[in-house]
Amino acid sequence: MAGYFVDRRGFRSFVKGLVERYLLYGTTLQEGFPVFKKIETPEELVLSSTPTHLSPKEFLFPPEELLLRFSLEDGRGEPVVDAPEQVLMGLHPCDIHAIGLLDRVFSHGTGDVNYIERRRRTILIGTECLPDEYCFCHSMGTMDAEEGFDLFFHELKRGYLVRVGTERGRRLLERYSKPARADRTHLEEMRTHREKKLESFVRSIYARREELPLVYAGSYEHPVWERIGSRCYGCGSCNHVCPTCYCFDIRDDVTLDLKEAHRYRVWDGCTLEDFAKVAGGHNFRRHRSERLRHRFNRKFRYLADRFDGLFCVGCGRCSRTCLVGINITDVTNELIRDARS
Amino acid sequence: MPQAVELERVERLTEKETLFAFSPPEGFVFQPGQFLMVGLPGYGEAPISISSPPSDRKDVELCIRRVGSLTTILHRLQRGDALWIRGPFGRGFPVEKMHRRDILFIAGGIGLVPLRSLIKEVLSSRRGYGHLTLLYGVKSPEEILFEEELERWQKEGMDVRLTIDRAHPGWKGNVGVVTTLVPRVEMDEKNTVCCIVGPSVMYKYVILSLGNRSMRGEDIYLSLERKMKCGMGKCGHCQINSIYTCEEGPVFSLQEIRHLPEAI
Amino acid sequence: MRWIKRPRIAFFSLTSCEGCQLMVLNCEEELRELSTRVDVVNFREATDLKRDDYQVAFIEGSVTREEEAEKLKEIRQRAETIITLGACSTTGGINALKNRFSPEYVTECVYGRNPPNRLLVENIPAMPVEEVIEVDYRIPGCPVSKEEFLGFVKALVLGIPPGLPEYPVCNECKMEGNICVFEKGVACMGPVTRGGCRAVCVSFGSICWGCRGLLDDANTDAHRETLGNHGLGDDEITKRFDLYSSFYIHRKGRCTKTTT
Repeated sequence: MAGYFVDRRGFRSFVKGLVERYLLYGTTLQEGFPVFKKIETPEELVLSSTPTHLSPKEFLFPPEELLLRFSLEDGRGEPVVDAPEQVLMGLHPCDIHAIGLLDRVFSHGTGDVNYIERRRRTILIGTECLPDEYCFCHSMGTMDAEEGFDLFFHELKRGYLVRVGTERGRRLLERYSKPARADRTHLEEMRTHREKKLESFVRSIYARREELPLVYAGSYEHPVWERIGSRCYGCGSCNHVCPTCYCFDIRDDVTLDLKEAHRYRVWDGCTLEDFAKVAGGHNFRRHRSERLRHRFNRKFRYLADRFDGLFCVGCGRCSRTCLVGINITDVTNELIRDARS
Repeated sequence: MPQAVELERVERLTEKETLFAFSPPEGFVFQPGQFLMVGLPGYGEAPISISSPPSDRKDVELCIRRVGSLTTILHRLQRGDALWIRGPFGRGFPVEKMHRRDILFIAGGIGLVPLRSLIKEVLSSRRGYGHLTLLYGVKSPEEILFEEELERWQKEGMDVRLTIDRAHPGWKGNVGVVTTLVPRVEMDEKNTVCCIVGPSVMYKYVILSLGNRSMRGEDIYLSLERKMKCGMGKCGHCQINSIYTCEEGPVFSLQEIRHLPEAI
Repeated sequence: MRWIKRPRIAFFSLTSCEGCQLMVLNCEEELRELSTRVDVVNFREATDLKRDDYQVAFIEGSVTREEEAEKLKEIRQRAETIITLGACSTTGGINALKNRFSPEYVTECVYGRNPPNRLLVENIPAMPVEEVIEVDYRIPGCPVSKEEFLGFVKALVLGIPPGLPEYPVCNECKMEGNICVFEKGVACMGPVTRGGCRAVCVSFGSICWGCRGLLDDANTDAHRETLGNHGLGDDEITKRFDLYSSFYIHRKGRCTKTTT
């Protein structure tokens, strides 16, 4: 693999270049926790080894997004596409895999112009990580990112080994730093880090991921759904922190002067009470247990055929956010265990 | 991006249902059973089945029941007003598979609306089909939709049978849910295609009664109602287990959805 | 849109801090536009007008005096639409906390043993407006959210029934990008409280106190456990639930309702 080496000074100059020339979103600390935020000075960027609590999907698929604007005076409407050129920095391999899945979703069938435009103008820069107590990407095949990024930085003792994913990334790297060719010791150091990462996982899924759709298919009536359903709040937090959850609601609003109407898209979550409720009042998934079962099946089974891949990237964010301790690895392992016995 | 169409006809059908008609925009092609996302800026959108047949090149008709805030406002629209539409979306009834066969239509309540598109399409080339039967159930006589048309269809060679859920003063016809009519239908099960549209509670019982008549799953078609926001297989609301109703449905053969526990 | 309405609206205040009316007046940028969409015919905090030909009545405050109940019945007869404004009128609010004690004790706590005028301090257990008259729509919150109030007014103007979200505060809290307060070791009522406020309290560094009331489908059993796991004792847990929802918890036993 061809790679570059950028020393610490080169890295600083690279970040400075990004801050000065681009709209940059990167990782930083907020109240001591890792988050993605707009980075306005190079010092604000703090690379995090563990996952941010919220995923970076919001920069490609905002929580609330204006789609259409109608004039109520002349009866005309126009689509709104707000797609600034931007850089996302500090993406972990799980996030990069997740964005790859969102790309498939939003370009499926009739493509989603807003997502596709924004994605086209977004530069993705990955950084290496270490698992926290919820991570299990090594079980999901998402521990390493081989593609789907423009640049990927591996922190070494004296600088960074940089893998290049696109020509756009290479140009960016060369413009703002003085990259050298990575040598064997750099690659060796990167491999050592990878081994350390692999040994650091405290959570795993005890089946090959190819087996998971079948495990879930056979567990539709498993008692686990009732059990976790009785604890679930139906609060949607797991949906919102998930880097691959993409369901949305469409809402209209009218300005108070009654001159314009706006049509928005807003994040929605399949665990929320009225997600499957139709206008007449019938709710196709009334119970929390049914809604949770639906969410878990979407991650490991339902979307697998449609998009050729599981929709869980092993980031563990849903388990971290769940206040009642519903843990995605525990649930999946229980299903695996019972499927085998 | 939705497009505005001008309403050319607005007809109050019952207390709850109104029929809206507009000229098909250029290139407007659809199958019976497909739906449009219909809306008004500021009020939102809802999935609405097309109620007229593709063979009618002059009018596209939508029959809309007042159930939520959007449909309440739609009911205030008049001739000349604009309606915003997207679509058509989804997969309708496979009319081509019904040629030369007998067709049993079963409608519950507002389920007659999407079926009307198919019925009128079939009647427009009546000779291409075998025996036609419509079983139509409503709660009470005042909820009967398209009453004059029902009589016309009867004259055009369709066996139309009505029933109301509970006895009603002045009603001399059948009483009982629509399922009760199924065992009394004379049909050649092997040569019959059955098309069902109604509320979700109806399907289970109708399918059971058709099962008793040894109808095959691939000859039974039904249209499933779900919440829909985008119509393009993305927003997630219409999902039934692994499938997206807005893309793969709303019309399915029983065979296709039998393995989906959330379908019926 | 020929069905656009210009409703005549009135504001009435029962027992409350009048903070919700203040939030209405706080719609500074929108007030001028608002006054072209509706006719305000009765609003003590803003105008001398005191007309009775209102179609929509916004009612702030809970009922804690017999006279207030009588006044409500009168308003109900005049108004086509009654909308509660804020926690006190919607759920009984903080005022309902006094219901745990006898009226005599409560009166004494506030006015001492020998109040100057017995008639002025006579009070009954606090209750939400819907205990006395039929309510059409509810705007919860302590105080109400300006955006939500304006949304209700717009709905009235546009001729559509206004509604409330059926999801907890957490839903919007995540969309606002907040770090969960539980991560910081602090307990919060967000998971069982009706959303619609954009988690404004958490966004500004506080916690959710539950002012918008419990969701119909709130998993209160789970939340008692969560609060316990985060170091709150039984007493403290009860207090958290009671702060804004005591009327319903004690009257309707909603705290034990669970559906899975």
